Amino acid sequence: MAKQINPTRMELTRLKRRLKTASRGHKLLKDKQNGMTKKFMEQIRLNRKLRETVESELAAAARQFRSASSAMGEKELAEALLLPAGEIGVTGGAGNIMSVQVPVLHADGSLAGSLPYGFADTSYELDAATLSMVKLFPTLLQLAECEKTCDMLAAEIEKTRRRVNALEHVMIPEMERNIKFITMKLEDNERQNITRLMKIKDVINAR
Amino acid sequence: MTERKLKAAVIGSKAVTALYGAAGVAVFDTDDPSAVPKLISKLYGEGYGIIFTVESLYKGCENALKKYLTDPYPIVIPVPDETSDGSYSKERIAANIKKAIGSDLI
Repeated sequence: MAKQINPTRMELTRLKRRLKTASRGHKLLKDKQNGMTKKFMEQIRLNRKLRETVESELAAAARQFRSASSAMGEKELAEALLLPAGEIGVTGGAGNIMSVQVPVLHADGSLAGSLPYGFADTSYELDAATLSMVKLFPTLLQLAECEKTCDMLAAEIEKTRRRVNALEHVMIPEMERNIKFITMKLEDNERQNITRLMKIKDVINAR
Repeated sequence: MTERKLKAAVIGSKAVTALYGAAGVAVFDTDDPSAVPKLISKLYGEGYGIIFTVESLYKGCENALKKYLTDPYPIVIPVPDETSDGSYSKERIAANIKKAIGSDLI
């Protein structure tokens, strides 16, 4: 509040410096928010597309898996899938979107074409389900990366928007009000001083 | 952040996760949503950076999993199970859009 501050030239200089910094910060944060929003829109469109692909492919694989389960019996199915065909290694790093650290994933190698069981006691539906799942894994990784990026960008955009709004609607107007208050107070003091000097001069001249 | 090797895991009921196991994803069976946050924390400590959790379990412990939203790893995402109709993933996308932009424009 303007009434709590010290109306001095030192305070005025300090406030003017803070206002300059706040205005520059506001501009930078606004630019960051716009940049992040642009990236977020690209990622969210990709997220939606990947989700649709993954859900339809998974539903198809699950259907084939259910058919295999009814054809083979639960015990045989569990035996066939007891050991995986292998383990897919994933390399994880971090990318940078407007100073937000987002995950970047790469699959090391692939299990394409490999089945974890022999063909003697298994049905062709299980082969189809397993192979489509193996084929879907890179897309699942892409979805994981994209969805996490969207989550992180959304949280960061919200945080940045709050900061921008606080600067725009609270801090900067308050500093401007305070600067105006100090300027007016200093001008008032100056006028008082001049009036006092004129009065003293009149008194001296009158003697 | 330097690149590092990560492992992928799936948490869910046996019926849903068996298929993931065949694709080389480590399977952890549970039907209890309250056990999921603890399991995820343990798995991340063991080098599992990508953890797929079936939707029904993810919904049951969504609030406890919010702490993982601010760091790049672990990546915990819901995957559909036999009860999914696709609406939950759409809701999550819409919630993210609303959070970032203020309203669901897309």
